[in-house]
Amino acid sequence: MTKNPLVRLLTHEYVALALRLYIGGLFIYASMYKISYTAEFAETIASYQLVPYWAVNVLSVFMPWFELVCGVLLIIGFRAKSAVVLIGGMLVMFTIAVVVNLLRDSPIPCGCFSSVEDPISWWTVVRDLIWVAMTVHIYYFDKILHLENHFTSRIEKIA
Amino acid sequence: MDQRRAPNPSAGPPLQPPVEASRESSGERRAFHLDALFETVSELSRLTDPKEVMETFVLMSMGALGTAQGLLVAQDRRSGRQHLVLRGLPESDKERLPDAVQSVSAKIHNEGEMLSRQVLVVVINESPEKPGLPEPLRVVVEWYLDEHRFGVLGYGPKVNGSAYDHQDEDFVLQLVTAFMDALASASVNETIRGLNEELQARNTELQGALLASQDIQTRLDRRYFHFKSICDTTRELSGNLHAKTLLSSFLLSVMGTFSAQQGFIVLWDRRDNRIEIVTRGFGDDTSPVFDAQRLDAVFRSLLHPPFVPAQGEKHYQVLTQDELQALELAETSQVGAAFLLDDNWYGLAGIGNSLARSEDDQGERELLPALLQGFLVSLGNALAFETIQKLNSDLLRKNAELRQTLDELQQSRQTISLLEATANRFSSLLRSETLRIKRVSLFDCLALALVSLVLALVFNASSPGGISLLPETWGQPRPDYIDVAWAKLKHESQGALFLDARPTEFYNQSRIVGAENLPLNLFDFVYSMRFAMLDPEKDVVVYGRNISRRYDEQVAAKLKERGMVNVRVMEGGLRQWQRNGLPVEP
Repeated sequence: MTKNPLVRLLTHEYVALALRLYIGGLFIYASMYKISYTAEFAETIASYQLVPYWAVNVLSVFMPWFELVCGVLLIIGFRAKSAVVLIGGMLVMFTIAVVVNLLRDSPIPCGCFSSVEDPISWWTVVRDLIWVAMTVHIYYFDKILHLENHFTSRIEKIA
Repeated sequence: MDQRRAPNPSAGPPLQPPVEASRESSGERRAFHLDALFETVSELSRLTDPKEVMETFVLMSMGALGTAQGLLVAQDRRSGRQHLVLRGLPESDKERLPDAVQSVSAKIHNEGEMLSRQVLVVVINESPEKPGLPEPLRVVVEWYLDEHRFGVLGYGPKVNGSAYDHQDEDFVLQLVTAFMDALASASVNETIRGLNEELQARNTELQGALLASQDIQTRLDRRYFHFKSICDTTRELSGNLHAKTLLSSFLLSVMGTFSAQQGFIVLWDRRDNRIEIVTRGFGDDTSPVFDAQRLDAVFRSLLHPPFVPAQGEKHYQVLTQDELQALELAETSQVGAAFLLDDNWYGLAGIGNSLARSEDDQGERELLPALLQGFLVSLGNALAFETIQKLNSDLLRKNAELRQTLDELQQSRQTISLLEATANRFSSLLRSETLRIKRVSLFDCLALALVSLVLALVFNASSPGGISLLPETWGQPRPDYIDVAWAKLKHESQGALFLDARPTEFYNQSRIVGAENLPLNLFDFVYSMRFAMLDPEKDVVVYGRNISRRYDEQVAAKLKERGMVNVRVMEGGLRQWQRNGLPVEP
């Protein structure tokens, strides 16, 4: 046992599985509100003052579904690598947006889960960074309970 | 010969006186010489054998000359023979005589040409000194008839001891001349006799040849007839490919050839137990009847070693009278034959009541086998033709089946090709998918985005909470604008109402001094509470846009809808106002 028990714990595949399920569920939960109240989400995106006015509506319609699809695929383990990469990308994008608006001192809510929230703060940034770290962990150590692996092994037997 | 010798003593009467006797004897001797010459010529002319001519000549001339020793050598260069006649001389001298002839031959050769019928007296009253000639000789004469015949004549001394005189010499010359004439005539006669004998022999041979040629002609005519029969039969049979008509044709040909009035032929197929029988000239009661049992008995009795051939070979046997009687066929058939083509086909034939039957004729005995041979060949061809026809029909059917099988096989091959191609594509696709699953790919990301977009659009279109994808301001008419400078003048003169269209949080953060807040999301509520009583003619300046929203344009549009006629949007917004250094409050 040359490895540190803490390192071994952190790199265990079951930890990766737990994180995968958490992040997937998180994104599915977040997308539910946004899909239901597209107009409010549009206002939230507009309040960030980062997206051109002609793209705000399109983005407010598309983004929730994108989050939902990536979350579902991540949980069932189908194209999980791509899904986790996309989710990580979205989290990075959210983090950057929050940081920019914090530097502007904009009095806007986060808009992640509902429109009635506390304004963005540096704790919001910390939270997002933690989520990004989780996605990185999932990318490198997640191996088990993929629906795709089941089909892959079956296909390899056939081929 | 003895009679010739008898006058000799009377020719020389020694009792007469010498003087008178000399004159009288001279005339008498001349007459004697002539008489002797005549007799010699007469005698020689009757002889035909050269050797007899020589011997007679020597004896008669010796008698006439009165000598007891004489020799004659004749050389025939054409035939290479040499005749010797020796009288009163020892036999030992015979071996040396050829030398004498050689000298004559040498002389002839050296002189080039000698005259024909020339006589040369080389020795007279002397002893010859030439090689090969006996010592006692006193007269030597060389004679030359022609280039082929020549020789030497010699005489010993006279018995009365006198020398040869001129009359004697002349007499010898005449004698030799006569001898040469007789010799030539005898040679000619001999030649004629030989030719005559040869001619007679040739005539005899010619007669024999004529007789033989007549015999050969007779046999040749018969052979020609047989050959013509065989040829006609073979030609007739060879074009026939049906067994039954072949049997009939053959039977008719054989009956015609043998001048027979009745005949039959049977063909038996043992495997199928079929019997083909053709009969001609028989009455109903005398026609032979054959069935399987009888034919089996017939061939069982015939199948002894000489008759059973090698495997699969055609074979026939001409039946003798005894065999015909044993088979109970002698009453109706005079000539019969049994034949078989192979292990399966057996046959029996018989002809009877022949008009021109000749038992001893060899050609007749050979004719039936020859006809049978041709018939068997044709029968084999006919049976083979039937087999070939059956095989051809089988082959046609098999060809049709084979063609169908080939078509099906081709279609199957095409199907297999398609299936293999499909399987290969599926395998490669699955393998590539399997490899791709292990890593992140742009395709997957794009696919996820596309799926999300489709779902989003569908849901947005069908959901009651759906929104327009395009900004609202694009469908609205262009508002009236006022630049910052004019806005500043109005602001200083208190001549216009400044409205901030941004959300409340941004209004609270920074605004133009004296501006009122009319946020877009609370427009109806705030307007009804605070601006409903506003004079429609009052000047209104609206500001408050950002990159994501154009609140000012939207609020201005709503104010126009409510009857405000002097609503303007400030160009540049709050940012430009601040950049110009104009007053703002916190």
